[in-house]
Parts: sequence; structure tokens; C-alpha cells
Amino acid sequence: MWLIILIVLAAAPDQELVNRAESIVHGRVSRSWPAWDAQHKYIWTHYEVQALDILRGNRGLVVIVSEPGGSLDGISMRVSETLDYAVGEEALLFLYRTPAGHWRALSKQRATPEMKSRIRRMLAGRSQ
Amino acid sequence: MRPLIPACLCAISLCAYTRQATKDGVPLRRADAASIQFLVNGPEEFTPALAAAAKTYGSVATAQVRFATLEATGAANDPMDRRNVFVFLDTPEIRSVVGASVAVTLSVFDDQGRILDTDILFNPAVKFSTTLEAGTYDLQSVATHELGHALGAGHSGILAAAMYQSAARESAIESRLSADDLAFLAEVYPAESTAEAYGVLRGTISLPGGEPVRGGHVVAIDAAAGILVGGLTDLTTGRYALRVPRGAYQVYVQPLDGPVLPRNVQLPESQVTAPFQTTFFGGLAAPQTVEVSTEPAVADLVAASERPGFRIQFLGAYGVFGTGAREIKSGQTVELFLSGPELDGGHAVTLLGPGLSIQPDSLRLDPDLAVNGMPVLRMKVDAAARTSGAMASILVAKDGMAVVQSGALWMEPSSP
Repeated sequence: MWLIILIVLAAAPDQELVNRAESIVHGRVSRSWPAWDAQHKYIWTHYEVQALDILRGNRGLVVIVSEPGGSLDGISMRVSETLDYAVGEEALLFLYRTPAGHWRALSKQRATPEMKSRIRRMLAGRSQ
Repeated sequence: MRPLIPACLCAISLCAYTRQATKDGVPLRRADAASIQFLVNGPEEFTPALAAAAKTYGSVATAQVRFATLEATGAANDPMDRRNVFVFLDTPEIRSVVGASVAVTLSVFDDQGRILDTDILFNPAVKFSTTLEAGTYDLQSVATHELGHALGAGHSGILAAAMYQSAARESAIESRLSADDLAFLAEVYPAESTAEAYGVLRGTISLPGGEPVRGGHVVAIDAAAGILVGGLTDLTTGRYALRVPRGAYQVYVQPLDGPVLPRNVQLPESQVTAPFQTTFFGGLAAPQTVEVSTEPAVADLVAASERPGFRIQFLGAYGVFGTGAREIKSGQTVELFLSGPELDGGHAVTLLGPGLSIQPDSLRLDPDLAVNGMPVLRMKVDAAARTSGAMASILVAKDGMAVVQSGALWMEPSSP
């Protein structure tokens, strides 16, 4: 009984992440900029990510990843629980598209060879 | 370009817990803290839990934070309307802003760090309850966490703090303010009684070669009282300063290598010192106690750069396993499980908290259990009955090296 509980609960996070991600990209942030949304209501900060390796999805060489919040026109907005990115940062991004059309990351993780291999194994297992 | 990361570096330089800040590093705070008016756009039955969360802050004697009585509103999530609103609506815009989070707090602030407008948006795809119903998030816990953001708090490195980075379903741990959360309030919104109740603990963390430890998690723990307060060293000098309740503390520094990672406290991973070893003031074998009273106390530490291979990755109790804090009912015996790489029967486990003892000879490596292929240590823990809640840390050591899960256990008071 315990064995089942332990394995199921502990193994869930990574697999759930892979299941939910529409695209999985190992990339490097090359630049960022803030912009208002179409309703001029929220500031979003957009990050240009150069794709170094695409594990899922076909997003081309560049992906624009966005997070709500930022500073523009003398106004600063901060949204808790969002991810920050630094220009030059390299990461493994688990992406989904929001109803507003932005790509956002469910999670960003260190893009180690071990991590990528694990994700590839999960993806291969799922497609079988 | 959003310069939030540099801003945070300044903000955490000399504070316990973590604080949100402007792009120039000015910590955020509310000018209306004496009477914060929040409105509710959502089901009427949710209002009592939201009010309870607000009252949790309002009842802190060592802080000047008070919330006005909640009022219903038709106002929604307009970040520029100068109205603070709990929003339970389902629109494409809200789903986009909330993203994968259970809830988010959106704050608008000026260059002086004054918070002008705060909306708390709850994820319409997530189920909330006030009864810890299976599969739901405790509404009061989520609201307590988000109100902390509304007051300017960032995430805490203490697992049982209300401001810990993630909430678990069917858990009410984040509905209580821990000593770490209270220290934030005392720092930012001090009451008249704060000066007498709190003192300052400060110091510098460095590596053996003299290089500063950047972004190290420093924890002051009074194990006898179940009090923990944590903070981060700054990214230039390795200095830290914690505001803590007056008392006697052990002090240690630990790396942000899980479950709290640099990104969880808005630090750029590339600028954080890693790896280094969890190090106690005075040494692991005989940690020294630091007395914090009227004058600032100093605890400088030199952390060994080598880190052990073993870690605690998962913690289990009452049949539930996870990466956050576990609740223990005081006055009971509970079986505790620790899992992580390279754990074996040669490890010593110490519980740093009041009234906790591991039953003699109960600690063992279970050859029949594994979590993601990692070994499991199990033990029976007696938790003495108590009338108030308290936190505890779990220390695992071997060959002079240690790892600590800070605030991994929350001891719930016994039923009367």
C-alpha cells in the first residue's frame, strides 16, 4: 500500500508537467521588453528565447515567452507567482498558450543533459 | 525590459524573509496598512474565509496592519481603479494572467514602493473549499498567502511559512502566520510593541577562501520554542540581517538547492553561490547559541564549499508525500518518511523542534520502499501534546555533513 502511494505521489509532478506542456524548449533568453496588452490594461513583459533544442512542439528558432507584470510609462505592475528571466539565461521551458495568445511557462528548469534525457524518455513512453 | 531581478537583489540585501521591491530596489509597502479596504467579487459563501485571512494579519500585536470589513462589489480586476478586490471571475483575461497558479496578487506601485492597487485573482480552473475537501485548496490558506503579497512580502524559504512558495491541496498550513511571516510584519509595519519584542541578528557568510556566499538561506532557529526566521544573504557582500523575536537561536546557512530554488525567491541562479555546505554557527557537532536582545547580535559563518551527495527530496507523514511542510498532530505518534538520493542507514536524523523525539531504534532504511528509485528512511516520532502551534526542522547528517529541511514540520496543537 505504502509503496503504491509513494511512487504515485512522488512521480506525478514531472510527468504532469510533461503532459500539460504544449511545447518543451531548451532555449536562451536573448532580449526582453514590456508592452501593454491590447486593452491597455495590463503590462506584460515579453522574452525572446532562442531555441537551442526543441523536445516537443515545432516552434521554430525563436519563441516569444511572456509573463504579466513590468514597468512602462511610469507605471509598475507586479504579479506574484510569475517567473523572472534574465537576458542570457538558459533554461528548459515547459510552455503552454494562454487564452490571450501568449506563450507562458508552466515551469522553467535547469537544462541539464540528465533532465532532458528524462523528459525525452517520458515523451517516448507517452507516444507508445 | 523588466528589471525585476536587479530590484529584488537590493530588496533582499538586509532583510529577513523576502520582500518585493521596485526596479530600483525600494521595498514595497502599503500606505494604507492601518485600514486596508478589500472588496469581494465572488460567491458570498467565500467571504468568511477571506475575512478570516484578513483577521489573521489584523490580530498581530507586533504589527500595525488592519483590514476593514470586507464589502461585496461588482468591480473586477482593473489594476488602475485604486480598489483592492478579491476576484473570482472566469474570463480569458483572468485565465491568462493567473496562468498555472492557484491564485495571483497583482500590485501596482510607484517609484517609492507605495502599493496603490492590489487585486487578488483566483484561478477559475481550481477548486477551493473551506472544509479541506478532497482535491480542493483551502481558501483561507490561499488568501492568507496572497494577502502577504498584497502587503509587500515575497516568498519565504521556511516550508511551513504562510509565504512558502507553493500550497498543497487539502492543507491549511498556510492559513497560519509563522514566526517568519510575523517577522516580516514587524519589520515593515512595526507597532509600538515591536521594538521590545524583536532584536536584530546579522552577520556575513563566506566560503573558506573569503569569497562571499551570495543568496544563501540563513535561518535562525529556537528549537525549544519552535520559532524559525529565515532570510537571504545579499548578492554582493554575503551579508544578512534578520529581525527575530528576542531569544536564543542556533544559526545556520543552507544553499538554495531544493525544495527552495533561487527562482522561487526571485534570484537569478547564475548569481547565487552553489554549491556549499549547510553550516551551523559553532559547527555541526556543537552548534553555538546566539542571544538576541537589545543590541544587534552577530553570527558570521564560513561555509565549506563541498556539499554532501545526500539530500532530502520528499517528506511523508500520514500517508501523504510531498515536497512541502507536513502537519503533525501533537500528542500523537507519527511515522515519518524521508526520501532522497544517497540516504542510507548510516545517517543520523535530528528533529529541531519542541517536544519531538524519534523512538529509539525506530530509524531505519526501508528496503521495500523507494520513491522515484530513491531510498526511504522511516522512523516513529513522538510529538508531545502542546497548546500552541510550532515549527520544526529536520536535520540529516553523516560524516560531519548535514542537510536541513527548514520548517518542514508544523505541529498542530492538541485538541482540548
